[in-house]
Amino acid sequence: MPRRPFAHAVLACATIVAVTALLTVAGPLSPPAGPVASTYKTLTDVEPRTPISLAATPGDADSLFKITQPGSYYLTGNITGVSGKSGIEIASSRVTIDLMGFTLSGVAGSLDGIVATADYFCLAIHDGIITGFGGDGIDLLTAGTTANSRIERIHARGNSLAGILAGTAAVVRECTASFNGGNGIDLDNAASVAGCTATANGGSGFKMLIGSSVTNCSAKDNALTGFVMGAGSSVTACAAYSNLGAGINAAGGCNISGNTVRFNTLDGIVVSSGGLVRDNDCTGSGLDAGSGANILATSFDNRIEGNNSSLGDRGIQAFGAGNIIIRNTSSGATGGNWVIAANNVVGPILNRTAPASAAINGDVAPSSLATTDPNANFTY
Amino acid sequence: MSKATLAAAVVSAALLGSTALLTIAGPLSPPAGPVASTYRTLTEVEPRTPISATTTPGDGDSLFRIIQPGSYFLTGNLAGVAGRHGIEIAASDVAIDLMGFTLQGVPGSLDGIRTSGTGYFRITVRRGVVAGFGGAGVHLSANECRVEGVTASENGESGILAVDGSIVVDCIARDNAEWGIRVYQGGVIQRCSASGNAGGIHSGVASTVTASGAYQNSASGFEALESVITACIAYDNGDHGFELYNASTITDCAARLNDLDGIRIRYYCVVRANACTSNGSNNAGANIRAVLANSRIEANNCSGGSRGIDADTDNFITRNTCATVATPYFVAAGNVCLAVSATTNAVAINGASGGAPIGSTDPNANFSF
Repeated sequence: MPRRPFAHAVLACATIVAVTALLTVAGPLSPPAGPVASTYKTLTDVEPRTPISLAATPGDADSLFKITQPGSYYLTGNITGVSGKSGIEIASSRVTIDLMGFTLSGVAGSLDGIVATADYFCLAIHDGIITGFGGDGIDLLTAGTTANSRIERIHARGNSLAGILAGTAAVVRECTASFNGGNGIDLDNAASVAGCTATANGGSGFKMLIGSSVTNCSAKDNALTGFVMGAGSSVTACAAYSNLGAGINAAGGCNISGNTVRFNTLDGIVVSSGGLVRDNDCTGSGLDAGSGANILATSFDNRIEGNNSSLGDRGIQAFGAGNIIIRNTSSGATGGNWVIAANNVVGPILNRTAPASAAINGDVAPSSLATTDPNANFTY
Repeated sequence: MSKATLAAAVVSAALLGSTALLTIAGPLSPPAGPVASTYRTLTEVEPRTPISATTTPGDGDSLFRIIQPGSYFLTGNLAGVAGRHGIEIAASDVAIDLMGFTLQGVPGSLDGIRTSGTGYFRITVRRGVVAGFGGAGVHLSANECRVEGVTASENGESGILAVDGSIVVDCIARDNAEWGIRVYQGGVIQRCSASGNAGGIHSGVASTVTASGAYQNSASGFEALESVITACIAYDNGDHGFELYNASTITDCAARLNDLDGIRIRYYCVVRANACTSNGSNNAGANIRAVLANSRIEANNCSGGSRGIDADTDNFITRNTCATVATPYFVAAGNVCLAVSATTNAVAINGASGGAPIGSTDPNANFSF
């Protein structure tokens, strides 16, 4: 057989090309129907919010940055304040500021960290740190009521005035306010506060006006009161510890339930009138040179029920007449476990400091309560 | 070449050689595995879909319309148009992040965000403001929705409305023409605020409402059907503070200065450990009012106003206290209720003991004082 290697090679290559072409199915060459449109994302798609910058949000004579239009804004880095200026000034309603975890650091003579300059509404500030400003950390109240603000996950620390200040119906969640010169968190009517802490502020830890609620919060080591509540408010499942004023001070018609109040310099819980003080644990009020009761009713119509009082200057105290005091327990108050003016309704108080009960180890034991009165209060 | 030149050349060559030896080059072999890029695409950085005329074009009654499951986000404020919804959702399993922006309606616009018809599930709307729409702010006729961190204000119907099995948390509703926040059956409302609306917060059957407030709404602060209301505040609303229909429980709340009843219940409710003050002034209501039967009213404190506890027949009323009320107990025949005028202590108490039985040792006695 004659050898024709070149021809064989050509034939093999042609076969491979043909098979490859058959296997490779190309896409349609016709463009899709409809107008031509891009399929990629722009940088604006990826981050549509407005960065807070000199170009986008230039400041003015009293602010480093000023926001004048509704929208969503964010920090791109830490900001250092300037004397005589606020950090960010808000001059519009419906503004959201995401601090993106960055810090606004004030300097001596600076104004507020973030401030609203008139009566705006629906402002939101979240996720960052505001420290060292010469005014408030956040001030959404001084220039107007600034209703319906939302402040979440903010650390306000070491500002000269309040940590966080906001107007009517503010919602504050999971914030910390510490070492500020004024109140830690200071709010107008109908505030809702949850999951926050206020520590070592120069004023009160939390202060809010009528119709407000605070749940699952902690106030510790503040120079004045832990929680100051307006009328018709509630304090639920909170802790007030070692404040230099009272632990909780509530105006008329408040519901104070399930809190722990301990080692405050003045009173533990103070209620005015028409309050319900129930199931709280109060210890060691009137600490050191201070003078206080673990629970104090300053006026009338309060129901004080089911609380436990330990240590402190006085246990449960009522200045005036017209309260009902039932089913409480108190022990170890140095100035009297019960200090109650005449003309209150007081369940019988039984002194059970020496109940002479035998040790119990088993399934049954006699009562050492010495009463079956369901309204009895006990000293133990 | 001279000897000196030759020597210099040799020294230079030696130096170059030493330098070359000391300089260890990196490996020339590529890493194992297939070739792959090391950068990230913009789609990887933001995998969600922007809401835009290109990606989510609207139709005859919507500015934008979402027709596929997925995660979407706003890229700016959105201005409404008369006769249209802002964003219409026609799919299940859709999440919309408002990114802190505002959907701003205009007169004649429809809902801000709504589902298109029924039959959808699991819609999430979060982080932004929906204001000024002619219809509702957020109207989700889909089951198992979540609305979180949304402010709904000045809308022509309800601020936020979600149907069965939905969760509304950390929301604000203000000045809406119907309910501020409304969930249907099996809903959860937590840590919300409703002020200045026609009605504050409405919860359907088998819902819970916790740590929320209703302030200065024109009608009732809260309205609940077979729900659980815990640690809430109703203050200065134009109708009742809390209005509970059948089989609801309300505990640890405060109702103050509401125009009619502080807490109003119908059948099969539990009302426990609430502080009710100065509701229904001028005889317009009671601090607690049971208009029907089979409810348990226990351990509440009522103060101020015209009536403390006002009950029609067949309720169980135990361990309550009423003070400084013109009529502490206004209880029809046929209820279980022992009302006692409490005995006060004639002398002050200072020490470890004192006091006396307060008028009854019946553990179920109610007291006025």
